[in-house]
Amino acid sequence: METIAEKIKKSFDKSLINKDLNQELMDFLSNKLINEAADRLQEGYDKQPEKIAKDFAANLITKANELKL
Amino acid sequence: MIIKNISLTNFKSYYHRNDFEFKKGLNIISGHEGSGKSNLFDGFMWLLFNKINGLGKNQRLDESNVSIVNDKIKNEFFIDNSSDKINCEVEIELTMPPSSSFAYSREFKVTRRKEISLNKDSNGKNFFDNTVWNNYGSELIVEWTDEKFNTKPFYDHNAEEELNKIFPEKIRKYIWFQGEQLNDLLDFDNKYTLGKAIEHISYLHAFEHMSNINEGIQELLVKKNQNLLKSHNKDKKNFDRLMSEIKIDEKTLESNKKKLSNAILELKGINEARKKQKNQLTILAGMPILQKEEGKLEGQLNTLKEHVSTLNDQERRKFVNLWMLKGTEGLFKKADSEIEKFITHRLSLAAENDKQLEEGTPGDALINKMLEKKRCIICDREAPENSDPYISIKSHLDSNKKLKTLDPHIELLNDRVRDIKSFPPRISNRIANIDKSILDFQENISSKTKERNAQNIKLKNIKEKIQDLINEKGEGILNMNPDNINATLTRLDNDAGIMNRRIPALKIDISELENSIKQRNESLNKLKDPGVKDFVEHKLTLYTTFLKTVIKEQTIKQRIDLIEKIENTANAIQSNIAEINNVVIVKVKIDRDDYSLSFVDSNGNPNPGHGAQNTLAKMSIINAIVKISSEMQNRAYPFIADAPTSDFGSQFTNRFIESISNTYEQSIIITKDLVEEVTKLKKMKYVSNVIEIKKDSENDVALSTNSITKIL
Repeated sequence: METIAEKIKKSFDKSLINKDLNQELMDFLSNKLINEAADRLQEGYDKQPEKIAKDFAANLITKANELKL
Repeated sequence: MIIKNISLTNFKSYYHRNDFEFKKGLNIISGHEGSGKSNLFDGFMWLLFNKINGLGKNQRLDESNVSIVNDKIKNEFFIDNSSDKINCEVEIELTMPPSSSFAYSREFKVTRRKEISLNKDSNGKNFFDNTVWNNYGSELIVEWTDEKFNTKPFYDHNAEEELNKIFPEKIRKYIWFQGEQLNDLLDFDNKYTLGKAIEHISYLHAFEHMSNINEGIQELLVKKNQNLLKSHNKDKKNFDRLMSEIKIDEKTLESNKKKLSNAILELKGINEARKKQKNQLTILAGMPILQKEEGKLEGQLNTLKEHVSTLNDQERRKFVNLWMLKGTEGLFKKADSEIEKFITHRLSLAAENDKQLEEGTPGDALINKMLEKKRCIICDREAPENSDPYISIKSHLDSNKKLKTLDPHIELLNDRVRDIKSFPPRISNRIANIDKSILDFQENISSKTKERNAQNIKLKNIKEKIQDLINEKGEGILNMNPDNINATLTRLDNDAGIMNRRIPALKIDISELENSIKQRNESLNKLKDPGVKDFVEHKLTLYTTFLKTVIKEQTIKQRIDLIEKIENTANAIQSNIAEINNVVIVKVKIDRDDYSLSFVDSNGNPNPGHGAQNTLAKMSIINAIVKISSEMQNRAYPFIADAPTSDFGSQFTNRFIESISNTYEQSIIITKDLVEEVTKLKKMKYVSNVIEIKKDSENDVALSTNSITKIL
């Protein structure tokens, strides 16, 4: 059975594809956001969005450096 | 999620503990009226909503209410003067499959219980007034056990939170459903009803969360980029100026966002107040119509009452007169007979006198003619002169008659009898029609009485509606002033107008400020030392900006897609049911902007439908929402309905029930409509379990028969 995160991802269809951007990095960021949103949808708890944004920003920069963006 | 069982202990008509076991698939609970079916449904309602039907719309069960505790056990306690507590309890056990929240499937036990005991005076005697029972309120307990046999109980507020995770508040109304009170449970006229359900079953909250986090990341990236540029720029003066402008813009932006948020909240408040005022106007509009109708009916009724009363008086008088007349029938018959006797007697007297000419004796002219012709023209015989016949004819000449008159008293009496001779038969004839006349009269009065009774019922209904309106809206409704309400409404409309202009203006300001900040950040970037490459933080803002647009578009798309999906699913469910029953359905239509619901015919023209048609349309929406919710949220909810088919015929009912079995992983249908068909249903492929509830008339309590279960 598809997870909710997979279903959300599927609902975006091809709209997350952008030829001008690095697709791996785009997938990295969109997957992180989708997984977080799916968790929140199911759990209903309210983690601090500022903290999540900070963590994600740091992860994104690391990933971008790895990919030598 | 599968509900495994429910137990009701001393709850309403359930005396001591009663268990109902449920299966996956379609469970049918059947029983005659008054057998305890709705009390079973109330058991679910009390457990999950802490309210029961019959208390009024949205009314929670008062903690002091002891009416939910079984009467038989209360009587036993009272008679025995028991010092123990009565435990009234409803408990369900359910299984939830593994999810992202927990790795193993979990067994949940949800219990709501209430205890009461007899309140006694200092001598240990029972009170007889309304303080007879000590009431300890109710408590909710939720406990789960996983496959590793870990258990965790939750109480009170925490239990309510856990319950909300199992059955989310926004979807609960679509799971528990009572056909007879469809519109009370689910306000289809309120656009927020569908709006809330759509929000819950969709991924809109997920998109909103994604958008918030994405914006947070973008802000951080921009700040980091600005910090890096601060130490790597070629024009410090311009850099500082741009940063200063950005800060001013950001401050204004923050302030405008707050203003926008407040304006949206204010508009929401205004709209709610407008709705309230409009509602009051509707009520007020309804009340005078009802009151006018009441006055009109009372007038008509008074006229009818007078009419009936007059008719009654007339009837009494006429009845007496007619029956008195009827009583003389024999006398008149006797009088008629006596008159006949008198006439016969007189004629016989006349006949005795042979000189007396009988009626029809020829006159002298004819006799002279016979004498001349010497022949009797009466008997056609010859009468030669001086023969006996000749002498006999001649003797009849007047001049020869020796008339012997009858007694003058008899002749006088004969004259009087001649005058009244026709009266007795005429009166007898009239008397013969009395019965019909009385019957006609009674029929007339009966028809007027029926008319009066029908008017009485109409008036009673109107009075009940007025009272319902007063009960629902309070006595204040009688003092509401439409002028004041209209004035308030006008003021609110003006306020809403102001807000409706302010909100788009603020959105434009915000958008312009965001662009301005973006452009200034671009300008900042251009001040970067030529020898330094673009910072990764700057490059990454392209990703967050792109995502921002995608999420925004996706949010709009999802709303539209979901509305279409609900419409299509609901209409498909309807068509499937209506197909074999040859019923014309009303199609479901949901407004794309405000989620308001309407029904249309096949040509798209508004048609609210009626009776079963309307019920089917509404129930199809419920089924569609739960079905889509199960698909989107990976969580299948059961469907529990009491009398969902009360508007339907038997063929329609069976088809609807079959449709439910296809829609839900588990459904529990409580109904009296299928009592006669239980045997047939047990053989149906789509029925997993049939439970019959019977009433123990001797003890006035409900009993569940052993469930007749099929293993699928």
